[in-house]
Amino acid sequence: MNIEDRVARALASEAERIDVDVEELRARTGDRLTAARVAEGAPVRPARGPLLLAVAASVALAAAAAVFLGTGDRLGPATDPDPGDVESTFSCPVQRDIDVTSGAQDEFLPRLGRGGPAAVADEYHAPRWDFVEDGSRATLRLGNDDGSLGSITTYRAAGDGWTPVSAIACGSSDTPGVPTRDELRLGTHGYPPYKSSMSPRFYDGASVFLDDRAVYDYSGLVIRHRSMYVAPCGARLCWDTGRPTSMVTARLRADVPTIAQDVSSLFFEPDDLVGRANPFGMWAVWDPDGTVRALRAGLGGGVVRQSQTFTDPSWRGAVLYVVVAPRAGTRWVEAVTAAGKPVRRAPEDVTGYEPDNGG
Amino acid sequence: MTARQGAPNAEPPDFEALFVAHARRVVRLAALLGAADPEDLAQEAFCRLYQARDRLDGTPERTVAYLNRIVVNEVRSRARRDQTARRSAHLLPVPRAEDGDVGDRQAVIEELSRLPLRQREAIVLRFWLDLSLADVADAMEVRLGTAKSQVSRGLAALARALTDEEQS
Repeated sequence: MNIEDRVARALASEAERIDVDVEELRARTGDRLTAARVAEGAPVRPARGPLLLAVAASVALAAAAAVFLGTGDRLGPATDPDPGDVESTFSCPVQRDIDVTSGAQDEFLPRLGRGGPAAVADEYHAPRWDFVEDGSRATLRLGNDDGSLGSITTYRAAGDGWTPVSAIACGSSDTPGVPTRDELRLGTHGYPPYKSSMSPRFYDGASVFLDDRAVYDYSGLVIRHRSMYVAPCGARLCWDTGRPTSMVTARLRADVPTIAQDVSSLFFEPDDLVGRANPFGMWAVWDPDGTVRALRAGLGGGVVRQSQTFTDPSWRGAVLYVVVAPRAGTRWVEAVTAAGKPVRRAPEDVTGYEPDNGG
Repeated sequence: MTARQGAPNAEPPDFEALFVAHARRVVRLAALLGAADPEDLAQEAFCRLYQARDRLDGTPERTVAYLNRIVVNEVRSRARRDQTARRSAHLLPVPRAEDGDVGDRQAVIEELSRLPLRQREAIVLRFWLDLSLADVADAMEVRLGTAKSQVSRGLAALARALTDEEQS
């Protein structure tokens, strides 16, 4: 082994030994940014919740401090649902009516049983709830950790119990995603991503973060977000998405870097798409050797979405290009070669069942 | 990892994504360059990058290159402030208790820690970050020829030291 290879190998090995707690580092950096802000005499606005955090992002330094501090990470079920303090009106931009009477859907059935409203809140992991009886009618509000309203269910008295009459919940049937300021951009969207579960021992390069975004639960609550990572695996690229509750793996081929590959079905977890649609198209090319310079998607009106690029020193020059666009409005997807030549061919869906390897 | 827009005129850097993408790499770079407290240095680097955001042209390559320069400069600056403790603990010589790859890593890292700071920078940037010589020069804020000579001298010194050690 020559000296160059020996040095490169030793440095790579030494670097891997240095464990970094990114979340801790983010918190400390947030502290430092906040301190700098205070030292400058400017007010620091506290981040209150996911939506407010997104709005506050326009206030540059304070918002960055809030993001680094991770104050937006309020997801995850509370250990004990907390009665009270649920707002009475919706702050989410879209709501949908839920059929709780015909039995046609079973994703959200807030039936009041012996456990009462606390049991319903527990079943749907609602951090907060509020139950009001008014004669023969009652209302149950399930709320997020910050007190924002997730759903309202009304009941009428029936015998010695309550029968659901109607329910309205945050979200739409068009998408499980919580609206964000820049939903077509891959990256973080208000929550610190989960750590990658792709161990470097089992992949041929470091895993790289692509995206994290929150979804509405069927109850209208915002209690989950998913993180997406990629890492080289042999001649292909493996995707890990759906943290912390599930994983979907696809294999992006490297031998056809000029043909866009359709990975739209990895954008949301399969369970979140039951009865809902995925409005996003996500296309990618995995280029091991500099064949490609960019990937882009053409929309109506001459609008062109450009790809984002992901790589890592451990990928040895390989690059992943990903473009996200409204699925319905996308007319074409094309790769651009290093020489600048556009190659427009029908994207190939690579997320389905692979009989050769059971994937 | 590098996250960058494919468009020539990209949007201003998304610091949250930038932080997530590069935090681990920045800490490791600081450590390999010999920072006594690489995590503290990484915090400082990201704060400085943020404070300089208005001066960045928004292209991801330039942003990452600027971040590398901040790290290199900050390591130098701290080394100057504290000449007596410029080696991080993990770069200090360690007992040679292991054979094979682990022993070789220890030997290389130990000799690396003995190189002059500029040579160490050049070696780490070239062989760990896999930067081109032009990018090494950019990160070190030196001319291309200087970067080449620092890499060359560093490699030669390492080869000499490792050969001497194996023969002794």
